[in-house]
Amino acid sequence: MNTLIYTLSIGTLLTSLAACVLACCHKKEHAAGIFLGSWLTALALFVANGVAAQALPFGNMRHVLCFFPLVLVPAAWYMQKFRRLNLTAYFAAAAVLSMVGALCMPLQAAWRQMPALQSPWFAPHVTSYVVAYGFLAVSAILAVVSCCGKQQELHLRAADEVVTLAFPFLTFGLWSGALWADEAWARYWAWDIKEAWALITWCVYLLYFHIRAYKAWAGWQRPLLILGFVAVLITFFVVNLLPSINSVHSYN
Amino acid sequence: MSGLLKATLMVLGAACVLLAAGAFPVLGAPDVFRGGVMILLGVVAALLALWGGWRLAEGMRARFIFGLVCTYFTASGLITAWMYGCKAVEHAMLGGAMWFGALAMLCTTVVGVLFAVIFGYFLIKLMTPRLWLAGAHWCCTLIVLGGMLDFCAEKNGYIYATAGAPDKITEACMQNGDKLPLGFSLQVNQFEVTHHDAPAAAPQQYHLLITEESGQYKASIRMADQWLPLPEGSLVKDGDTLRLGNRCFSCADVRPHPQLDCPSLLVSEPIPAGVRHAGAVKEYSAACTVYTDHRGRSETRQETLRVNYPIACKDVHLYLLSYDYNRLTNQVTVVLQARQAPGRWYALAGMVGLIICTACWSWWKRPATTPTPNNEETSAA
Repeated sequence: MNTLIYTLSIGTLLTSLAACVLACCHKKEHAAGIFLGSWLTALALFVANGVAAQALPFGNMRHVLCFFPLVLVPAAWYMQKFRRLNLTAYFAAAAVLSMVGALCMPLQAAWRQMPALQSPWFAPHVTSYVVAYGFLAVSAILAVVSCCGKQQELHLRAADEVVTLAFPFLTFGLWSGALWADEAWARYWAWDIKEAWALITWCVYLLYFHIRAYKAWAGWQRPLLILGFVAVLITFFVVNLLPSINSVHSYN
Repeated sequence: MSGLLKATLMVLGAACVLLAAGAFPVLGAPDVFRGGVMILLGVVAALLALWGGWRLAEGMRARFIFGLVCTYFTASGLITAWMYGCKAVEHAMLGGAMWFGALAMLCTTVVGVLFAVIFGYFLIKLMTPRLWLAGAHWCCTLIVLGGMLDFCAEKNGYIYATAGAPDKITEACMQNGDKLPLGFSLQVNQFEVTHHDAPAAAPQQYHLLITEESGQYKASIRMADQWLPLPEGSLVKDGDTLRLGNRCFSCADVRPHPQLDCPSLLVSEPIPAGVRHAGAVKEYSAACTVYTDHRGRSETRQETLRVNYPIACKDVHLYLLSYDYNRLTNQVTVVLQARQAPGRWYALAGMVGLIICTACWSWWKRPATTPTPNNEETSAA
């Protein structure tokens, strides 16, 4: 099973990378096809992780990182179909980054869901955060590209569109977590370090939306998008991986 | 830039800095979160959100208020339909006389659906993205209001109940030592634990040996095929009674035994189901009886407390936090938390409202991005 999981992880990584390269070379049709292939391998990886874990595979960071391509491919399709923005290269780049991250994590296939995690909130809470973080990664990449590329305004507008779509997912993730905590831990807010960083992330994007309303401060949009994503990275990686941190969100 | 927006930016910036100051793992100070500055920022943020929402709804305020009322009724209708629908299915699956209950609940479900449809229709007609944004601002105020109320008046108490013990619990112990009266009484009848995968060779029996040597009583328990003496002081002689934790034994039961050179008492009983195994815990639950009164008439309710599923009685919420199996006494102590939180409903309503308003603001009636003449240019490279 471990060999299969590694093979599928590398397969997802390579197909996402190929989609990214093809999209950068203006081969839209091919890129979309290959990216769909990466979704299929990501789906197979998700199933394999689930079989190995004998539960919903959200038990560790590797599981969650492997879930990113599964939501990023439909997100790219949605952006193209309904928002008329072809951002396949950016979404594929975000999928590549997540798979690189997943391959760097130790393979802990076995996972036993503890009692507090046996809640109907579990799947929607994690899924909404994965969708939000995926979108926010894309917006950060767009913000970086908009600093140096030719069509700066166009990229910034696309980043803004992506953040606007991501924000409700981020809001749902944050406050559904609080609603869940109210049932599981008898308090909706514990000022745990993970919660604090999730709130910082939410506040940074709130700051972005308030600054966006004022044209004279448009120059702050890019730094805030990047800062917001840095907060996402701290919330997602640093809080979980630093051994000195004692968080109620650590389940391993 | 308007003064309101400037003030909002300042408050948000300050909140980010304060939160980051408290959230740094090494240099941070978690006390910052409950400090005076944070509370002041919360109050200012709540007022700004209230004002901001009001300003955003300018020119459409009646519509906004009516829209919020419609949102409340639509959400209530949906929640009612969901809850009673689930109950109706549960009752129907039980069959027999429960079918009548299922039908009654189905009627309530239909009423909930009707509420959702009627008020949802008004909602679609009334609300615009700008009004949803105003609603999101007011929901932020509601969350802060609830949080502040709880910060000032929330009461939490802990209950340590022995599973199967006959005594009724009427109060919880707060952290400062005060008692929190529950307003009802509670008895934990049974405790169950299920495991993901339990090892087969786990001990099934509990053995306790009490011996008496020259007036001194000593206790040992059987673990890993040997008798382990209990620490001094764990077995206390109180008149004719020997106390080991919550358990009592009569001194008269410690009698001479043919195979032992001193009087002894051997207690052998099964270890409570669930706590026998050392595998990863999947779920645990406590079957309780709640004794309460309703309009002067006494009422008895059977409830099952599970993690993630608290029970409520007379404004007190009871949560199953943890449990402890005492190997010395072979008893399971269930740890419960009793909570009185006056701001809870405001905060939770604000959270649900914020989720709805943000989603509707962002996704609903949003025009598609204007396509560029050459879509290739909008794409990646």
